[in-house]
Amino acid sequence: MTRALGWLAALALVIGLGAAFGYAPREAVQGNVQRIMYLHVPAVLTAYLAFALVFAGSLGYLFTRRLGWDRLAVAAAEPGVLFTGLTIVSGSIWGKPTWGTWWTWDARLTSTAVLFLVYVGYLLLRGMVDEPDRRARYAAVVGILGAANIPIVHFSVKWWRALHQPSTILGPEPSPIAAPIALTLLVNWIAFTLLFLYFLARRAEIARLEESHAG
Amino acid sequence: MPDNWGYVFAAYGLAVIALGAYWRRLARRAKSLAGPGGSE
Amino acid sequence: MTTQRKFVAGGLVIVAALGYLIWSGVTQSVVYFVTPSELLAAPVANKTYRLGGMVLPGSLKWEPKTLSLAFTLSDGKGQVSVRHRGAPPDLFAEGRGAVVEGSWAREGYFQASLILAKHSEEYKAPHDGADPGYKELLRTLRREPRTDEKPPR
Repeated sequence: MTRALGWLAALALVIGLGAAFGYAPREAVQGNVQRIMYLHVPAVLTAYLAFALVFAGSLGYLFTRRLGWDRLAVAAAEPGVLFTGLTIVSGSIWGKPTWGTWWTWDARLTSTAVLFLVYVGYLLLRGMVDEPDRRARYAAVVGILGAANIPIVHFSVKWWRALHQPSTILGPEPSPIAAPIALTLLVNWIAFTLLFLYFLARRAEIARLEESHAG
Repeated sequence: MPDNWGYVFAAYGLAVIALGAYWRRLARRAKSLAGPGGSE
Repeated sequence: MTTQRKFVAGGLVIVAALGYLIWSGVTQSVVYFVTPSELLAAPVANKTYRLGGMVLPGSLKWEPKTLSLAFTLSDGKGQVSVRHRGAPPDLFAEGRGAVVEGSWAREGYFQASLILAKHSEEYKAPHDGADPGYKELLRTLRREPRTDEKPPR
C-alpha cells in the first residue's frame, strides 16, 4: 500500500516536472524564472497541510491520550519542516532575479521564517524528551499553538503591506492566471500532496516500530 | 527579460536533492528498525 | 528535571517568536513600505524609509554610462521623484510596482540605495498560442534569440 503510494507520487512528480518545463509557457512578464512557482506554491500548500495534520494529531492526543495521534503529529511535522524549507529556499532563489533581493523582512517572509522555526523547535523539543507520553503531551501543546501561525502566514499579504504579491490561487477572488500555468500548478500540487502522504505513511510506520522496540 | 534558467535549475536541483535525501533517510531508518529487531 | 527545563526553554523561544510576530503586527512596524502620499504628508529629511508605489509611465530615465537612474513613484494621490545609482532589477519597469529603500533628501527627492521590483499576482502566457515550455528550453540550449520579443533596450 505505502509502496504503491510511493510509486504513484514518483509518477506524479515526473509528470509535474514535465509540465513545469515542457508544457507551461514562459510567463509574459517574469520570463522563465516564473517556473520556480511550480515548486514554490505546491511546497507551501503541502506545508500548510502538514502542519494542519500536526494540529489535528496534537488535539487528538490531548483528548484521547492515544499515542497513535502523536505518531500522526510527528510524521506530519518532519516533512512539513522540509516543505517549508523548500518554500523558503525556492522563494529566495526566485526573489533574487525578480525582486532584486534574496531576502527581505516583509510580513510574508518573516511569518514564514517564524513558521519554519516554530516547527524546527517542535522537532528539537521532541528530541529532548525520552518518555513517550510526556513527549507527546509537550509536543501537542506546541503543535496546537504553532498552528496559529498558518493563517498568519497565508493572510499576511492581505493584512499587511508586503513586498510579496497576494495569493493567486487561494486568494479571495481568483486573479488572472493563464490556463496552462494554472493546470501545471494543479498537477504539481497533486504530486507534492502524494509525496507528502507517502512520507507521512513511512514516518508514521517508523514511529510505530520505535515504540514497539522501546516498549 | 533575461532567461534566468540558472535560477530555475538551482531551485529544482536543490529540491530534488532535499526530497531525495529525506526519502532515503526514511528508507534507512525503516530498514534499521525492521532489521535487527526481526519479527515485527 | 533537565528535560523539563529544556522544555520550558524551548517553549519560551516559540512563545517569544510568536509574540514578536503578533506584537510587530499590532504596532505598525510590519508595514513594509510607506506610499508617496504618506511620505509627503510628513517627510523627515535623512530618515530611512521604504517607499512603495507605481513607476509613473514616462518618468524613467536611465543613463548607462553614469549608472544613474531617475523615476517617479506614484500612488495615484502623491508623486515622489526617486534617484538611484546602479542598475534596477530585471522586472523593474514603467507602469509596474516598485519598493525602494533610502532616505528623503532635503532638496525634495528620494535618494534610493536599493530598488526592489514588486510583482503582481497575475500570470500570463506571452501571447495566445505561445510556444510551450520545451521549445523555450531548446531555444536556450541552442542559444537562439526569441522572435516574439523586442530586443533589450
